[in-house]
Amino acid sequence: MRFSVWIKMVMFSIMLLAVPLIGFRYAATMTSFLLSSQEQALSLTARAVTTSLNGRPELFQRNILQSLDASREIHAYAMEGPVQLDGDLQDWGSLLREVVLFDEANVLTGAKESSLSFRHILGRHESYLYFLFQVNDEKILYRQKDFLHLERNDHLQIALEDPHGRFRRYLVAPIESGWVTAHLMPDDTANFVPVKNETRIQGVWQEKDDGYVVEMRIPLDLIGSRLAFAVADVDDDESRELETVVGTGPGGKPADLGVLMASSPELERLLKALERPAVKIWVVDRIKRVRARVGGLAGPVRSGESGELWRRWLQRVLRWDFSLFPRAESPDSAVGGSYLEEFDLEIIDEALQGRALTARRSVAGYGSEIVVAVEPLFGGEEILGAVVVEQTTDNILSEKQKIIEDVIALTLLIFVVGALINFTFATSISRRIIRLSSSASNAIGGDGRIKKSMVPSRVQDEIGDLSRTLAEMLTRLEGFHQYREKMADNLEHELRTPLAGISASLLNLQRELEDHGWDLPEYLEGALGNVRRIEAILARIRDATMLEEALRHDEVEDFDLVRALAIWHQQGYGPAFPGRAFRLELPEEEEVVLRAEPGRIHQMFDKLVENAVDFSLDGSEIILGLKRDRKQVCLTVTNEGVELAAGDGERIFNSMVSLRKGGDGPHMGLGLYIVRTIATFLGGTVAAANRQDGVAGVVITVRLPLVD
Amino acid sequence: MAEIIALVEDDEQLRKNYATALEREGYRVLVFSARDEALAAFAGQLPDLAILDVMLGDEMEGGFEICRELRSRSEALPIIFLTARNSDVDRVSGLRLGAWDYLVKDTTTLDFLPARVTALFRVIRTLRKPRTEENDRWQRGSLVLDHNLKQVFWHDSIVTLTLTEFWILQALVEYPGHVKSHGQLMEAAQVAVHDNTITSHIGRIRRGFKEIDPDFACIRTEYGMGYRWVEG
Repeated sequence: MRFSVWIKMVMFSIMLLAVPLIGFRYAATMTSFLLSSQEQALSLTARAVTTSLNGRPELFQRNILQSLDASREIHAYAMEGPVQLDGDLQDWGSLLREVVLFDEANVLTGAKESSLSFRHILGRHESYLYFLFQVNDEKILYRQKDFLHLERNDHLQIALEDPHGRFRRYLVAPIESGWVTAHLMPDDTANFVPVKNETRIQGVWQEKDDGYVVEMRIPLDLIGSRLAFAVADVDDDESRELETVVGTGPGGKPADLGVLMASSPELERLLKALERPAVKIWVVDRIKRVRARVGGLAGPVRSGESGELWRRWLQRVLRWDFSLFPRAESPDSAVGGSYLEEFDLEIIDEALQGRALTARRSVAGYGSEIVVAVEPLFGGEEILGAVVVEQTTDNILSEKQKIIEDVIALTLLIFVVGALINFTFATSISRRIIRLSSSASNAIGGDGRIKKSMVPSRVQDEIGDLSRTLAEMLTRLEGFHQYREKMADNLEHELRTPLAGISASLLNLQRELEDHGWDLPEYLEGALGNVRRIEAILARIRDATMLEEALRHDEVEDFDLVRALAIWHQQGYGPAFPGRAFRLELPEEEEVVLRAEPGRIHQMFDKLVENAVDFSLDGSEIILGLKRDRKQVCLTVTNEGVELAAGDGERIFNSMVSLRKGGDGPHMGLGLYIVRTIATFLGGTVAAANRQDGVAGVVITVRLPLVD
Repeated sequence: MAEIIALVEDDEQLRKNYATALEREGYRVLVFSARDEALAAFAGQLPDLAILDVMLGDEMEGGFEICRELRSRSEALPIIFLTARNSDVDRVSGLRLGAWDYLVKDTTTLDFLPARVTALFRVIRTLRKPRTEENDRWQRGSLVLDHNLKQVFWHDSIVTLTLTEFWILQALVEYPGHVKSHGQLMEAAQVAVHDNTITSHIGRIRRGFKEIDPDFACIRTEYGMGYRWVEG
């Protein structure tokens, strides 16, 4: 199986991209799925509640007394636990927020401008109804011990309808601060002489700085569903006349009693059976009053950090719980009072129209949403009320959070592993490419020769292919090099024997002819001359092709080029080429030391001079120049004659290129090739250009590096 | 009595021509075209001088084999290789086997071969007369020339040189410090060859010495005009 590098990389990248996408998509799908199933579950719960209530309309009937006067409603809140009857308000806890103020607006008799006011709460726990009265009264006047009438002092009035529908009136008139009990009063409201002491209604009367506090309890079996109470104030010691009575009802007539809005214990008991953790169930009546409520929204709250070590670490790194889902201490606290919030009212309206539905709402300051399901409650054909079931989406969000945590952790893990793999992969690729490039560049020397062959890679991919291609290329190139180098050698070798044979035969023939005294025919001389020419050509080709090899075996030494040039000029060129005038242009400085084999430089210079002679006019001047140019020596041979055509400047240095027309002697176009080979081998350059001094002709410049 | 020269050459044309040329100089020439044939003849009597081609028919190194055989029978027999193989490897191999010279066939062969052979016999005769061990060896510093066996020693190790190279070296060391031009050296080597030959001969002499002594630098180039021996 073969995978290209590109495919490897792309596949890898796609895999990395897909992980978080899949994760988030899964989390979103999961969340919406869970939300819809939660809505369904809540809806089913609501339906279960209504179903269990539908069959029992009396539960509602018993408690629903049709008072539409809100001021006559007295709410008794379900309490968490019993209250210590000691005058201390602390144990009322959060119910203290539900305290109701009674003041001038609630004066029943007496002076309207009275300073008397009180706050009260009613709470229900198990079989007792608890009262709290916090009364502001400038002067507290207690009952005199031997006084029979109870109304001539500060006192508390309680009127109620007992379970049998009988109207009852009680007064609490203590003779001092402390433990108190109530007195049952006669039915005649004008008569303030008690019938008997009712010790079941008991509590404490505690004096405070600005008045007094009364905490009392009444067994629920004394009370039906209607209730009224009032605080009476007497301030004058002498007259002891009733000055002000503030309260919910005058206490005179049964019709004036308020409706006691205590939740129905039976209803609540029924609901308890259906209660689920973190689910709140309300039952409201037709006028949207809460008739029963069980459960709370605050479920078992997930601790800030939980789970495995990595999850805790991740949560800490992300500062997860509190930053993403800010929440109030409990969603319950935001849902106050017996009346529902606006939102609830809207959907309860829908339910009271006979439609069941579910909705979601958010609570200010609470991160998650609350799912609400409402279901109408029928009593026969009539709609009695509605059941509201609420649950927060905390669980779902925490599930979603967990999924996202998993996804992030998995992504991180894959990224780390992926980065490692990627890094290793990239490193190995770059290392292979670097190795390939260095072995490729090492394979060929500066002179273009193959120094050593490459070892082809065995890996089956693009880089392996490249390596194999390069290695094969080098092998072929080397073969070609060898063939080219051997060709001249082989050719010379193969031709040498027949040439020597022809030449020997001719020479013998010549000698024989001479011995016999015959005239030497000219054509025999010509044949010999031509054989020697062929041999000379072969020798030149061989010398030129083997030149690089020979250069490598050269013995280099330091020598003064100025002096050498002077000697060569003096001894060689003048006599050799009588048709030309040679002029030497040497530098001022005493010597230019070059490190090379002097014979080679001589050979090179000879070739330059021969070339200049060949291309110059008869009788013209050839200038041999030598100049030092910083770390280079610059040799020039300038002639007068035919100029170079454009493009010839480079071409003439190639082997077997000759621009000569006619002339005698073999011209293989090897002279300037030899010049370039020697100059290049010595690390120098060679260039040909037309003269710039107005004279037609060519100047060839050889630049060679000097030793330091 | 004419000296006997054995010529082993597989090319018929060359064999006939070279034999004719040598016979014209008055030598007796025994010609052979193959190794077996030559060795069979040498078993009876050794020639005074042997001229051997290296490649004999299909035998790439037939000449070397004959040389080895001849050298085992006579230490002083002059052996010359005359071949078309112009490579340093073959040249060195031939000399290692005890040949005196290694010549490459070319168009000038017929011109110089008889003259060279004549010169060679003259030298041999001269050397043979005062046969004392001491006189045969010529010494200057670390350099020793054995004129009898045409051998050169440098620091007591033998330097493998052809006869041509031996003569060039001899000309150089004869007057140390004096520059010998190409022409002078060619004359000394008794060869009539073209330009580059002296340069390559000098190169081979230097390489021969360097095999023994890598720091050898006694042969100096004089600006490409000639060479001289410097005692160092």
